[in-house]
Amino acid sequence: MLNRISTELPTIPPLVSIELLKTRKRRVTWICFGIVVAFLAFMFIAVRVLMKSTAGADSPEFMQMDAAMRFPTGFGFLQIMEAQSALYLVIVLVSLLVGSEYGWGTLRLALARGPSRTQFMLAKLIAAMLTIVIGTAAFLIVGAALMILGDLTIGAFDPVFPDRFWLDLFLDWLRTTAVLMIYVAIAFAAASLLRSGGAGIGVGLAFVVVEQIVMNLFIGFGGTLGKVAQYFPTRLTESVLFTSRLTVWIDVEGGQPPPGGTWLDPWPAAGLLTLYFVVLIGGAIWVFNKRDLTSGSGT
Amino acid sequence: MRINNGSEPVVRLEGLTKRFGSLTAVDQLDLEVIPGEVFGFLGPNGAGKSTTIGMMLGLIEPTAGSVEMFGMDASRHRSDVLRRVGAIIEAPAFYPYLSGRDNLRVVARYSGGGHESQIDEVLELVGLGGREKDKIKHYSTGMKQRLGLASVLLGEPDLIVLDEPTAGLDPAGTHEFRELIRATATESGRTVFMSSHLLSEVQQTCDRVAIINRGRTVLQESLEDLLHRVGGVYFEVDDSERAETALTAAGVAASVGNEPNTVWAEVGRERIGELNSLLVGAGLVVSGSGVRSSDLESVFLEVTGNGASKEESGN
Ligand SMILES: Nc1ncnc2c1ncn2[C@@H]1O[C@H](COP(=O)(O)OP(=O)(O)OP(=O)(O)O)[C@@H](O)[C@H]1O
Ligand SMILES: [Mg+2]
Repeated sequence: MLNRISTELPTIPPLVSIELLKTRKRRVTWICFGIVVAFLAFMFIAVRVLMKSTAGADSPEFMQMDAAMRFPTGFGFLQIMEAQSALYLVIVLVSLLVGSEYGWGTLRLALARGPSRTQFMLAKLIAAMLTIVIGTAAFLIVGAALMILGDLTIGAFDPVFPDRFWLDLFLDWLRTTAVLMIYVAIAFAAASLLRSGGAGIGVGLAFVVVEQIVMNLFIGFGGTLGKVAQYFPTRLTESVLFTSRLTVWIDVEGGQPPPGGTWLDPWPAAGLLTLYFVVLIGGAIWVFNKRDLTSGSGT
Repeated sequence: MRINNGSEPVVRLEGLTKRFGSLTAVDQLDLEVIPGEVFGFLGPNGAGKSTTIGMMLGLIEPTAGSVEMFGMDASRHRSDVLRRVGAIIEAPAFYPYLSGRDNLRVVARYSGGGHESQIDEVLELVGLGGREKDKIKHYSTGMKQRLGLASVLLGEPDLIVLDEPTAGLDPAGTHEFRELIRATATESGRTVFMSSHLLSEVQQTCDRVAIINRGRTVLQESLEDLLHRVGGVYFEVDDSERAETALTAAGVAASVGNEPNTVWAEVGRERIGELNSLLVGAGLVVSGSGVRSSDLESVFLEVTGNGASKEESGN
């Protein structure tokens, strides 16, 4: 087994480069990014400028919004937005990256050329993870530019950096990005098991919606069900994110999850997320290796 | 291990079997492809051609039997074997949002890289030079077929596997495509394995054929022998036994036909007149003569037991 992995590894990098080329040339990648930028621009410029002129510079609504969106405190706001909405884009992008190969029949084109199925899938996974790392970093950079632009537009550019700001920003980015990987795994497994990008998106999104509902119900019931809820993937990501220092979690909860026993500590939560990730990816690749790729499994 | 230098088959299938549930798509298939030949793999719809090709390319796991390519077990040395193969499985598949050139780049990298410098050359060869920057979604069917061939030629594979390569091409395109396939085989000594249910295509392109039906090989031999064996002219005579003797004595392969008072001679139609005089000269009364069409179509219909007419149910 180890022997096989060592002979397979050297060929993964070129496969990753192919996946990155595909991602880069695909319109949906840029559409997703464009939506994010447009949304950010609206939040960070339009809302602030609009509010200042409609609600007035010394209205409490504007002052609150303004404080949350200034450079550099607005980074906390960015992290929260990312934690709450990036997962949907992740599910769409990863499902398409994996599932479209079935619809176009390109899966057989690729595999008939020599790469093993495991190599092929691992390359996709690595490319998806890299794309997300790059995407979230770009999100922060674009966000920073928009914060500064917003500050300048309303004449409020006056950055004050708290202690160890850049380190905290980096660690927060790392956390927010890392917990997104569980949604990579969910979409990856759904799209490859169902052999379709659309089905991957459907199942992935349905999962997060249903999970949220069930999780809130369980937490509401408390007791054993509440305890079960703390093992749900999204709850685990929240357990990890509570340790973020720049986000408003700090203001709301003082950097600590609320008491009540429905949270795991951050490290066990991270460990469990990693386990889920490995099981989902491993399972998907295992099944993928077992399957026949006939024309029937295409479109 | 059967290493016998020079004539080691490029492909050797032994007892190859694939069952999908209760359906046996490929049944105990044995087949050998010799280096440098264009091998036609013929069969009606649903005969198991694509399934066999899928097993050769490691896309479908055989239920039983073995695939050997270049003398190596194809499942054990999958990557090594497949790097020497260029294949189109059913319709050529490409990434619609990439240009023709980018698609070829992708293919080149899948096969281990190092062939990107040949892209211009193969594009030129298949007549797509100038259109390589267009996205595939704007390509016509024929252009996709050409790009498919370009992708197959990339990396100078030793074996080219084509599953119904000319589907969707216009007559001129089909002709050109065949010429290209033949040229590839004869000029560069590559082996071509192509499936088809187009008899004319196989007849014009291939050196040797295997005909399969319902997953079984029903026939495997050189096209020439095949056509020769089943072709011939017949005569209606008053005494078929005596006619056979007369023809055989003259050095013509002849046999008594199934129908009463007919005799068959394995010759081309151009010799009808000559043999007619010969029979008359031998004192026989010849009341009629004719040619049995010696094209692949009749062979095909004969050996597949009219399988072709059931074709639609196969899909
Ligand atoms: N994934 C599958 N599941 C079940 N049956 C299958 C599957 N793939 C193929 N078959 C069946 O196997 C048989 C052989 O199919 P195959 O595609 O190999 O035929 P073919 O010779 O390529 O036909 P065609 O000329 O139509 O392309 C058919 O009866 C088909 O229905
Ligand atoms: Mg077929």
